[in-house]
Amino acid sequence: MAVIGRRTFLAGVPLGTTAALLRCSRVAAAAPNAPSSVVASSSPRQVLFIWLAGGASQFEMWDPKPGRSTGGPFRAIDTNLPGVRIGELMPKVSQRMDRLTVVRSLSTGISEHGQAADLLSTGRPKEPTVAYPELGVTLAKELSTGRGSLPDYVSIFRTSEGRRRADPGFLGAADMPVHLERSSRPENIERPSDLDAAQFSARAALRERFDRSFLADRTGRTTAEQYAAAQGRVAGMMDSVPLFDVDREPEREQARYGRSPFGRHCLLARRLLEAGVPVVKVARGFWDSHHDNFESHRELVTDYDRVFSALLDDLQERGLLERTLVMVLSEFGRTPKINKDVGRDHYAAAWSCAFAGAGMRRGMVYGKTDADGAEVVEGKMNAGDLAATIFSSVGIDPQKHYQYGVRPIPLAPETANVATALLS
Amino acid sequence: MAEATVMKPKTPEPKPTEPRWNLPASGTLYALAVDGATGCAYVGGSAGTIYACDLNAATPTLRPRMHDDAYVAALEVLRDGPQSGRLVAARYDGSLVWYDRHDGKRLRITTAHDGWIRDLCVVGDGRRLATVGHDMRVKVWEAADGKLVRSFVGHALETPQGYVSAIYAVAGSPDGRYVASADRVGEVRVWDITSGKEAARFRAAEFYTFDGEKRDRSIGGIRRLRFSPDGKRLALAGIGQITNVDGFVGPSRLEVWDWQTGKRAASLQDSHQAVLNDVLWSSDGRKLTAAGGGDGGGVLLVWDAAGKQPEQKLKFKGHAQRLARLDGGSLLLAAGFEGVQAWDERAWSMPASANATKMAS
Repeated sequence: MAVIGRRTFLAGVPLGTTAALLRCSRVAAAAPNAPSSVVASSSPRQVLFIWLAGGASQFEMWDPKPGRSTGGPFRAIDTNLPGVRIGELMPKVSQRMDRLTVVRSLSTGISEHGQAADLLSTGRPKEPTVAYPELGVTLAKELSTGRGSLPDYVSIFRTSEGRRRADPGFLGAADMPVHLERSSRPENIERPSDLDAAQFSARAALRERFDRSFLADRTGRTTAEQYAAAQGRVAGMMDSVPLFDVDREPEREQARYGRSPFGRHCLLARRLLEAGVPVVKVARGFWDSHHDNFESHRELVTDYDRVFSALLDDLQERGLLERTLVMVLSEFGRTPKINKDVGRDHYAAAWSCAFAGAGMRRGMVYGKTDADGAEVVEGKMNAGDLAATIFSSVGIDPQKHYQYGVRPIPLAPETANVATALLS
Repeated sequence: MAEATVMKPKTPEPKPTEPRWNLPASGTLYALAVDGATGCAYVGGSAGTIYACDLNAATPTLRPRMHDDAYVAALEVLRDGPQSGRLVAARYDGSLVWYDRHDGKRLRITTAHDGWIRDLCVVGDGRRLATVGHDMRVKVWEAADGKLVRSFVGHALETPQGYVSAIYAVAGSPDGRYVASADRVGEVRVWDITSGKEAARFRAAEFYTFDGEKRDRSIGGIRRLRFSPDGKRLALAGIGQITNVDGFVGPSRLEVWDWQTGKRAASLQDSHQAVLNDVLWSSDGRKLTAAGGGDGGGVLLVWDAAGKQPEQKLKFKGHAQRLARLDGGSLLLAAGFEGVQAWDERAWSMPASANATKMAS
């Protein structure tokens, strides 16, 4: 495990270099001699981030404990990985476990929704002085080719619970993803009805001319360039509206994903990945099952099983799984204790997440909890470790720095350990 | 029949009430059956253990009697004829198990449903049993030998929005001819055991919440239904429109339907935020006693079935899943979270002043 901290790095940097860094814009590219770290050997170029908002139960999904007082009523079922069992609500996923990596040893400490979502979304607890960018934002920035007219990051978050905008933090608005919240297609990007295509093109050309003129004799042009780039992307998205229309998919494909919104959103995600969007996030809310946990998970996991299995098959058939890291994550898991309302409450001490696709080793269960699922007994990972491992899996050095004012900020916390066993 | 509607009455907050007994058990108890002849109660739930309790004892206690790994969803005592002395358990592993309740021996096991059995009831004079399960089937069984009599299919496997559904409850008519079943989306079907056909169908839509715009969840459902003593009406228990999905927050709700005409006779909704998991008719068919729990805590409500606001609204610790009344008596039992609570119904049927006096003494 290779971890080189910021202080270690700074110790070797002459003062003059530090001063030069200070003169840079608030956010700069990675320090040229950023320390190397462990990265996956076959790095994916795209990421699909599935966010189960509210906190999905590890007991009902990835780490069942049948027969224990904490286990609940569902059984564990065999998978196509010998010796590995998962919750019975995922029969389809169970036959695709050889394409998955399950981490059963997350121990992230924070069990309040907002703070935990901040923690898992960035790999760090929220700080008053620095707004860290969401992982997806950083991944999109790193994985962006800088070419093409599509956005680098599309976040689909239609259900209202725990809805969070993927925050670019100190990276600034230029790295803001496209958020699909009220509709599954970008809003307000249609060409006005009283403007024909020729008129629209003429206006765009005029704006570009003004931009060029404005930028020609100016330094520190970042904002203006970003504005021009944003205009270009909006124009590109206007041309890409059909991409957001899943009804254009053959009926067979639509049926495969099912008619639930989560299914439709995952189908849209596949279309976006296929079109080359580097990072796509699909969020599905209302996993926060303080009451009627088993009814909730029977409903939600059944849908998840159908949709996620269809997604894995589809990505594989199209060759996308070879270049895409798929990660399934919540802000925390659920308590071992079943409460009076047959619910499970928030629990961050021992819970699970899952990965598929490129970058991570496949057909693997990492880490272990005790018999009741109350504590991690093997392979404990905190949020920083998880972030560092995700960055490594996509070939990004987690200790690469962004310069924020006077602070060089590594992508993952300096203390984070990469779980190298997970990397492909 | 004209419908009497009481929506969101401004009833006072529930009064805390101390049970006559509080019998602790681990986990959540979903099943409760009493044998009026012997004064014995049987309960079971998440621990898989079935406990027996002699209600005539000076200090009743729950004693483990039988154990299997799967959750116990429901229990029934077979009282008459050669089956007398047997206890039938419906479990989440889909099995229907006959036990000798005296020595705890397992006498018969039948795989009754593919998936959890959610409810079990005795039909009519006790010669038959009915079950409902996650396979969305309603099945009728001979109590004596476990032979399948009928298997009714009709409840949709999925909600209208494509999510998995569930039949939560089954009830047998007093004359033994009909069984009624109720599901997550509020659909009730009444089945004629004799003809093997559906006798009635209606939808109590207020028990089902779906908000595709924000929440995208199919939740709620009728959690219990019971025929009135004359067999003409059905009482439905559950929760009204849910405003907070995570906390399952919504108003306590009962409805009474004349099932033969398909008309709702009463809507009984209380502002207390809890799901009602069970309901009992009084022997004269005039009152309903319901209990449950949730965001507002455990609650027990006594209503006039004609549709007046709750006559009693009592709060207790925990969350009740199943109610039973000792035949001919006034002892009301509620099984639920971490045990059984028992109340003497006479305590709250007295005038308020007398009640206060009794409580003080």
